[in-house]
Amino acid sequence: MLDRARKVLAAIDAWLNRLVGWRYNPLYHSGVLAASLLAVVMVTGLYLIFFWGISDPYGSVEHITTRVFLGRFTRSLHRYASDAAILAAVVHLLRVWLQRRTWGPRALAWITGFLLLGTIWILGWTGYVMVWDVQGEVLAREGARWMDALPLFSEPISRAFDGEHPLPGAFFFLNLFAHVALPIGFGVVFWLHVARVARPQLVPPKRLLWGVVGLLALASVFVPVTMDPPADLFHLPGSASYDVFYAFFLPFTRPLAPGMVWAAGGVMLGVILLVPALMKPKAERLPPPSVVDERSCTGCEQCWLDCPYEAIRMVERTDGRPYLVARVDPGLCTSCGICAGSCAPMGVGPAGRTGKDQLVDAGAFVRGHPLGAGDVVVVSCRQAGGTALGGVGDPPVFAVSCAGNLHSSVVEYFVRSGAGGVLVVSCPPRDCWSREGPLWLEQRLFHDREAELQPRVDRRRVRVVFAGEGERAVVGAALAAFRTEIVAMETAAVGTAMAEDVVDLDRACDPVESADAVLTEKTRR
Amino acid sequence: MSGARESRATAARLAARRTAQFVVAVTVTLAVVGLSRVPYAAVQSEDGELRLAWRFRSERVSACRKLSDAEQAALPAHMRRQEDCTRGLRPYRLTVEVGATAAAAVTGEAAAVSSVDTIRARGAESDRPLFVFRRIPLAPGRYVTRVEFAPVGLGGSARTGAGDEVAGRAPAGTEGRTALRLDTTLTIGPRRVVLVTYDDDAKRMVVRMAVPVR
Repeated sequence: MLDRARKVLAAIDAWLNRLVGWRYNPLYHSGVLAASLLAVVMVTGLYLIFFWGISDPYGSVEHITTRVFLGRFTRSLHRYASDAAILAAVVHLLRVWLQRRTWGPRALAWITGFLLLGTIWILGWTGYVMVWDVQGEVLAREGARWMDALPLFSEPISRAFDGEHPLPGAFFFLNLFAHVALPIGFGVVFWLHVARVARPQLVPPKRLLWGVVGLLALASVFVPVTMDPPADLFHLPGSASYDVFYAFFLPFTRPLAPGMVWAAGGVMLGVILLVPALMKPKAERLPPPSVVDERSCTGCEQCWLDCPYEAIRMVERTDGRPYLVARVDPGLCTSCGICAGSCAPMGVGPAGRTGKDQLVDAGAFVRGHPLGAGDVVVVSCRQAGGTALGGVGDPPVFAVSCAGNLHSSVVEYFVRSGAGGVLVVSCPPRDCWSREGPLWLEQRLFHDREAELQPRVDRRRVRVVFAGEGERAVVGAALAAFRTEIVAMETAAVGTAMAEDVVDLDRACDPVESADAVLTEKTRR
Repeated sequence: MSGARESRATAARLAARRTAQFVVAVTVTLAVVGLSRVPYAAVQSEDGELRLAWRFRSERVSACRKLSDAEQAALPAHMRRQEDCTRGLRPYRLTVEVGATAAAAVTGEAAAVSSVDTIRARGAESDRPLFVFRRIPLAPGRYVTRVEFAPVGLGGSARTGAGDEVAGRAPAGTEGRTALRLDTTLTIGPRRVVLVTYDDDAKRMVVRMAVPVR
């Protein structure tokens, strides 16, 4: 069921990619959009708090709305940005869940993410109470009803709303305190949320960010927020406004006894906290963490630099060689395999996916699919659109666990084995399940990042296409265009030496021989 | 010629794409705006509410009994005492009778609400002030209402928070406390709340229909 839901998500992604391009697909940036929108909420909130009064909450909000300079606009933007933030956060959470990126070292991000979501939700709740209109009263009463079920108070706090006395100022003060103090703790949890990530992206692309904020600002101008009638403790609220993003629970919880609400909430919370454990593959299917072959490690530090999860440290060697050696912390390794692609001497990577292993697999692939001059080999990340190929006329696909896992020697190997071209299909950069695979791949193939594709390989024969799981058509179109180019190139090259033919290749780089040598070495071991 | 046609087609495709982007962006924004203000029927019915809410400082009572020689001998030397006392605030009995609408009451129709509860002090020492908090939904109309808040076993037996039937012994100055009683006809409007509470200054029950001014 989860896989089916993920395919639906992939289809939506594909549609949005077609509409706005993968660079600006808001679903890919949902996490950072949520964070940026919360920044907007904080800035607008800082302005509003100057005019809000504990002694007359409703009156002060009315004053803000009608008399304060830009008050109505700021209040509207404050609310709409809060709503959009929670929407973005929920989308982010759903994405991560559907892509099964919740267990192992990512469990911390999952749990703190929920903590952040819960905090945003409480902030929204207290924000509505601050207005103290009918909607705020309904939310306050519901919260008090839940709290009364807990053995914490000597008297039910619902009594504060019984009308016997005016509502105490302490109530609004506590509410204000929660509304203002929680965002301070927010920063710590947010830091924890991204603590296991080497280079967290904190802001979405500017055009996307300003586009979203601009739309919300326009909505604030043309459809500003309104106020319900003031809360009246002697009048049962007939109808109230209802913010689906923050009060989604009301229709479900109001008919329930508070004990049931707590029980249901506890079960849901338990399931959410257990997701990392529930989603973790069984031991036999658990992807292995990377390991370092210390004999091959030259201490170049590239794997340490490229690892998106800071799972690699450089430590002193014990064999007396005068440089450091990489050491993988299995507890932090997500088995993305990016280090395998970053290691020129192929000395690191998860078992079965190191550069050496990839060359062996590539050798078997070439033997199974003899390549001609006009043929294009598709190398695809398993999460990307390339693996969906397989129709009549489609080329066989050489799959890797992540585009960043692909060692550039494999690309060279295919070219030198006679393929006209190599089309590497990668997830769009912001949708990489391993965060930075497409980025490092492109830099290794075209920008000489360490473990680069050797200069002797004609770059015209290598192409990278970014296509998500649901974008088979994009891959098909890129493949057709690339094939046409390759055929044209082959035609033009008839009678003239190809770039790689004039390069003086040394034996060590002979792909078939080196792959066979690796195979022999592995067998011997 | 075909180049011009192609560039026109490209421009048209671009325009269509921009239009689609605009439509989707506006739709999503309006959806966010709309979902932030969905009308919601917080209370479905037109019923009003009779609310009973007050806090009441009951008198402190204690129940003591003499310890037998055997019981005293069983205690450590430093804990031996003549009497064993249980202390707490006196519980009160709340009786609520909300009759049928005043007109129907003449015909002898049964009461709409009738309840008797004992209100006990909370806390480990049963020394928290007594409080009453009842919400009784009522259809709009007029109701003959009787509320009585009477000390339990005043001058006789009283039940403490611990649940033991003990002899009541009120501290000086509180012995004369009598039951509070309210007999009135209340008009409950649609979705209106009528509050019956205790006025500590006047030492009597009062009816309120609005929050008192601070």
